[in-house]
Amino acid sequence: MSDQPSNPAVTSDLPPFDLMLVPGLARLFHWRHFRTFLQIPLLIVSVVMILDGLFGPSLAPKNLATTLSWVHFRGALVLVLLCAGNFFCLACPFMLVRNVARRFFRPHLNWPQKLRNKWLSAGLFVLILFCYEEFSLWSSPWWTAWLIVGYFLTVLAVDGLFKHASFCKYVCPIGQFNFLASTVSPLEVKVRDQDVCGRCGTKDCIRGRRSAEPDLVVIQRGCELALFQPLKVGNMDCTFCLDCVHACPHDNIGILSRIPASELTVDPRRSGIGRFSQRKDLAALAIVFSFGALMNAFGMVSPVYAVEGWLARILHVTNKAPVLAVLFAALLIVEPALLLGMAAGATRVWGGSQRAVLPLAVRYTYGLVPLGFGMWLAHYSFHFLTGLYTVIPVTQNAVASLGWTFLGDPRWTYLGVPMRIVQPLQIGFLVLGLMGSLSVIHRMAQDDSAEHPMRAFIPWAAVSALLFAAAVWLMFQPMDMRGTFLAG
Amino acid sequence: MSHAGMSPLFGEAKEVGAGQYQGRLEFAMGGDWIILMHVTLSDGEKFDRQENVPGVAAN
Repeated sequence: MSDQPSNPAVTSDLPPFDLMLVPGLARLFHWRHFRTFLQIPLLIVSVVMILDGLFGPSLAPKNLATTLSWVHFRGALVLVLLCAGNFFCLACPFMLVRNVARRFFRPHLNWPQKLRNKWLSAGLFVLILFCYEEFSLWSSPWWTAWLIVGYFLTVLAVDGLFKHASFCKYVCPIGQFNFLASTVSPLEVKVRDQDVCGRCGTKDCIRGRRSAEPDLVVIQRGCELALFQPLKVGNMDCTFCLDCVHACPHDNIGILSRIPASELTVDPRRSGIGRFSQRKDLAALAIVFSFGALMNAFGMVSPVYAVEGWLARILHVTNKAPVLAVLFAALLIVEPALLLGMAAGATRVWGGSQRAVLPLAVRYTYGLVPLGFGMWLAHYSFHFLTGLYTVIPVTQNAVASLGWTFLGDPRWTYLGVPMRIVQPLQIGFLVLGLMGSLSVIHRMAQDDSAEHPMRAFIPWAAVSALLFAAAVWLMFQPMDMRGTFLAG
Repeated sequence: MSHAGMSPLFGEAKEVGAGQYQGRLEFAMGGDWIILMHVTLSDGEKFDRQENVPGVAAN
């Protein structure tokens, strides 16, 4: 084990940058309460969002619940994932509440064997996207507040019943988004020296540490997501919680730099996950992630209303849900099945790959993740940057509504970065995503079809180019944000 | 705009007759718009009114 690199994708001879060795940060990251220190402010903000969502202004642009959820949180999330890693899971306020609750209620059940996959979370991911459109969550502080409340209750229910981090690993749709997006992040929680792990006899990083007998109280958790550090590859399923860092008796785990998306180009057996190419559920999640990015952006441009109106006439309905269901089925099931099926078939027949069509489709689907992330980035950074300063008047308004005047009158003219700056950035994110996907797919094709790598590459490059073109087309469509339609 | 964070527009209404004010707003995009009127009376009293303009079609 000692001579096996934890991430075979990273082959550079240069020692990686280690965020945990940066002066000042090292002590902070090793501080036992560092996670709690990050979680408390976010928990306070969450509570404020819930209260303002339920009792504050009903107008979304004037409410903290909608502004912080749909403008600032989503944008900051994708930008941090792009520039660093999954630090939002590290600071997750839901886990703080869960940790407090577990001081009183100890779960005794193991997560059901049949649900130890990503099917449920992929379905919940789709459900969130569906509810976003169905209930126009962006325009409803009330619904947004209840979504946050629902999240807290679900965390408490799941992790109150089931041991370990069942919610994070098998349920949380935001977490799954972060896991997939962080595969293209430049940082990874990783073993510094495999030889040290080879000599380690305690494996505290996975087992945790307990006090001496007879109490055997857990004094430091090991990885709750079943990622054994010496065999962990990449960021999938890693919440950056740093439990392994605190548990390791040899200080042998850091937050190391790596080539973004490099973990997608290889297919080793990963601790706690297995091989990507054998995980149809994970591939389905990657499909939702990649094609859902288009679906989510499609919902905010003008042509969607023409399509929805046409579908409503065909289906003879005036209700939004069935129309959305057909759209979701078309864009998240039929379209991926056709595109990925044809590309896999071409790779098999033309590229001479030995794999069958389904395993090929599963394998190459992960190649679309960088492009999908580029689409999410382009979309969410648009709202984040163009509405960057709106948090100021919205906060002023919330404070003023309590009768406190120390922040002054709301400055509603505070907006954000001008469109002329944001739009080139959006294009840049899309191009970056396309380049990332082409790079990953090219590497996969080289491994998969030694004789005709270009023939294996071209079908998937064509799928990527098609999705990229669709994303660029969407970006230049007139925006149209309607909370209601089909009325009258 | 009903979406949080989307750019608002600002305009000023001018008196065109007794108790009548007129202003012009050019919606920047399609969607559900909300016009918020902040009114200051001659005696200094302030109040707000809201007018919904749903389903503005994009060009």
